[in-house]
Amino acid sequence: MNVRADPWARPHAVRAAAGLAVLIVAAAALPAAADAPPPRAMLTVTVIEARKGPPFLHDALKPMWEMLRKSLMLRKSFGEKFGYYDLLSASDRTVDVDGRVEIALPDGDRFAATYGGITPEKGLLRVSLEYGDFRTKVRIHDGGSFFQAGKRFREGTLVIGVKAALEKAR
Amino acid sequence: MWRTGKRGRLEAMRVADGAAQAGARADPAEVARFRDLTAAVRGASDPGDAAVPSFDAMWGGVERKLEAARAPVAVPREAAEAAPGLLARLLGDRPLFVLAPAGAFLVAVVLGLLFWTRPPAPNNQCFVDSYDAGSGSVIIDQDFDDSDRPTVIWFVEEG
Repeated sequence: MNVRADPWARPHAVRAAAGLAVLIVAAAALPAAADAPPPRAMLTVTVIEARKGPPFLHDALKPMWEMLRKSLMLRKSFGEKFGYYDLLSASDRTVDVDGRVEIALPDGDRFAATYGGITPEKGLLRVSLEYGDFRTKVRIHDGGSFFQAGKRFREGTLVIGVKAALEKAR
Repeated sequence: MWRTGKRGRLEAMRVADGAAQAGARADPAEVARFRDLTAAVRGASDPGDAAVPSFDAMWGGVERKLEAARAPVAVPREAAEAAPGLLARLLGDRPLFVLAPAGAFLVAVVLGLLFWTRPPAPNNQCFVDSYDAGSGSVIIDQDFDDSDRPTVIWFVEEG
């Protein structure tokens, strides 16, 4: 009697072959992934004058009003509650890793934000700030914003908004 | 001898109406009272009597109102011919089977427009890894329970 050999009748051999195939594909893909350049990011720096006074919000700041309200108005920060928000300057740039966006502050200092790439675990964007002798490094989510504040200006303070977002795939 | 009681009154009534001959065993006084009563009733129902209100004018008004209500409403001919037929065909015998899904679809479209056209709120959680300042104070103001709220890194210079 002639019995044809059925390869599916040997599950161990089939599993081994499938595993090998997966390993080969993964090994081929790994160098490609490692070679892929890290994504670029758009950094947006917004310099705001905040102080006590009659309620005022510059038109260009209206999109970020909710963030300003939550961060600076709802909380009593250092005995002050700001009601007057004026836009002094803004700058945005799409940069590669280690690329920086610099902006001149109204008092003559320079403020710089540098994109440091993304974290491998959660894909957070690394951003470092520097102005004068102040330095800080943070990680934020794609599209997230934070503020740096405290530098005295006129009767109020400078609030510098930083937003970082990955460049969308082209 | 006159009949008295119920039978006597019935006899007097028949005599007064002319249904029985006078002089039968009906009391003439009773007959006369029934005649007076009949005359009074007939007089009261006479339309010529000014004491009785005439209902003709009222019925005339009611009839005019009924006719006005029955008069057909002027509807464009095309609409009158097409609309009821189209709607009836659309709704069929069980209009809820059509109206309920249509209503649900409409609600879904409105909700979709409200929610999907709005961009998702960004996550503003920020992790401050390090800071360095030659002088002054650094305060990190953040709330990890509120991912919308941006962190504020305060750097307050001395003096």
